Amino acid sequence: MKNLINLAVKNLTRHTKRTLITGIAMAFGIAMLIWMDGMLRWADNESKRNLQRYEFGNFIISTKEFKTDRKNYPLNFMMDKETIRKVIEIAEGLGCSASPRTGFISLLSFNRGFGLPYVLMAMDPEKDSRVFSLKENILTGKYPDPEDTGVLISSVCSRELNAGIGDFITIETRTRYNTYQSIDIKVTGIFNAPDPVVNRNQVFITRALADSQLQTEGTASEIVVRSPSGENEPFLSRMRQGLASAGLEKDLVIETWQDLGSDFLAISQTKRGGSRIFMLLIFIIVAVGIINTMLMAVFERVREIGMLRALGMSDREVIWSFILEAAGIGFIGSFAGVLLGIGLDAYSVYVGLDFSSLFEDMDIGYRTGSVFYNEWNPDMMLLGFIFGILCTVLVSILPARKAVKMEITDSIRYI
Amino acid sequence: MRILSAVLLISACTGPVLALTPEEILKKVDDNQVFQTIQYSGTMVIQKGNRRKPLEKTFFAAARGKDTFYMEFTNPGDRGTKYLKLNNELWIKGTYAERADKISGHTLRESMMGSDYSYEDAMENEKLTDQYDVILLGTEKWEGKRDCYKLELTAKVKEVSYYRQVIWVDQERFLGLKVQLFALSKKLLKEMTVLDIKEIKGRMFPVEIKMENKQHRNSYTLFRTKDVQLDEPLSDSFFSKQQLEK
Repeated sequence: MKNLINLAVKNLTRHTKRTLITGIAMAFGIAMLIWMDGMLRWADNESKRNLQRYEFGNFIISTKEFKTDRKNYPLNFMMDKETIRKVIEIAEGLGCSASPRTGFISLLSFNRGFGLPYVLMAMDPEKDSRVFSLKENILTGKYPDPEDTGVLISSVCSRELNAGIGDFITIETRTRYNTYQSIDIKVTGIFNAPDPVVNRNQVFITRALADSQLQTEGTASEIVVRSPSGENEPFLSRMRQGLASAGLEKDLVIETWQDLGSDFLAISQTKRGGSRIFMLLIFIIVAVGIINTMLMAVFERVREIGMLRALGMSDREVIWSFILEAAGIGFIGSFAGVLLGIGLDAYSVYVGLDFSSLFEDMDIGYRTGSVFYNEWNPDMMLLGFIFGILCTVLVSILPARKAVKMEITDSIRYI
Repeated sequence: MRILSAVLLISACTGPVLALTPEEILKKVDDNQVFQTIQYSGTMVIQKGNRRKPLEKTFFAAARGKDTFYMEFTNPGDRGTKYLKLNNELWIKGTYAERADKISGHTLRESMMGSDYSYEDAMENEKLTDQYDVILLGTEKWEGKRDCYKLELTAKVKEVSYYRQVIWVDQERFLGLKVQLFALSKKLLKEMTVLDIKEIKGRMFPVEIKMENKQHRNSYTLFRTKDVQLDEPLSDSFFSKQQLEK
């Protein structure tokens, strides 16, 4: 075996350029696999984090009727003040944070311009900041105070309306009793959340303002709950028990962020399938490169193979010498690929890639900002390394077998 | 069709009525909307902001009383889109849809075919006198021609689309010639004006109405009707959901 290894190494060094070119192609493929996997993994996990931090918390409590028509933000299935108080008391008793919210489908305009559809979200700034992370994403202006009479808009909304801090924008909506309402509200804050759904669809006012202008009278359509650990359990089960003991379980329902974000989670599952297709593509790149290199090596060395066999080297040993040579290319390519992958990963983990010029107005399905980062993925690095070597070994068997198919005498006379 | 019909539909009154209370005037406006059947074809011209050329949609409409209404669009882009109002339900069947869908909840608040009318405007059946307190603001000459009562309506119930309305009512025909619709904040939202009236079967009928959205620059819908037939027999098939889905 030692002789075979020596032979394989010598063959590799004899054709340095070819070995390097094949190795580089492999390295590039494996590095891309590691880098893309790290990025998709980050996008997937960041999206899940953002679903909780900006849209659903850990779970949402609402009336059963509201749940069935949630996407249309109905205003006729609200929770009254007393129910809200009880639910918040139960949630806070479990160590969770809870924030009542009401969404109003609205049209926003500035200077009597074209109306843009947004959801006007009425929230309690103090409670909301304990459940959601919006307060950390203020670009200019300020996060509202509980009695604030201004509106907090997103950077996307600000750009679309061409309105900034201090401008009065017009919000057309319906009140809780379905009466048309049109109010001019001063922009007091602009945020840029890393969740595009919030950035593109929501603006925020205080519940106090909604009470006075939108006839909410202390009611709310949902209460969003965030657990201290970030996990649903055991808080979800305890919350259910709490609602049952307060006699509220008949009227209210709890939906977890997984229920509410099921569309995204289904897409995420599909995307994971996509990364397997990416691995298959890498396999094809590697296979084509290796088969080509090894076939070239076989045809180039037909006479040499004939000579070795005439001198007593068995067919099995000849095949093994080619397999080991291929494994050598695989090792070089995979090792370089992993190194390059680590480099690309490191850049993306610490610096990130800004895709804002590409994705700014595009929905790419992830709940992330336009700057993409990577997550370290040592398992994929190891897998890429092993996968690279295995690929080369597997695809080299065919050309290696071809090397011993010819008669020895024909091989020696082969021109 | 409550808001639209306030000015669309005919007046049966023939002479001026003196010393009426504001409630009586409003009741007469309400009562004027009584008719057996109506059918007409029409055009909606929809202008939004800086759009160079307004959208033009043509349609055929038929109604029986206040609660039953059928509308079918005939312009190339919307041909085959049909609406059917049956009592408190509004159904839509899109051009390529196999089934009719009920318009309900939040969708009712949306604009009808991109116009300045909402579905809800078409759905309201309540009498104005049931929903609003009314006061007489005075009398005015409308367009320098017609003597009008200027009425202010303020919501007396919570669940009402427009918190306040100001209506110019023709003193002779008890026909709403202009209606201003206000938000809860008292901001003017929309203004509906009768641009042309024709006499049909001895009754005065507004054949061109402009609905202007005062919240947005240069945003209005012109509603023009022609070939109006009043109180002629209408086939039941217009008002059948099964027929709508065919």
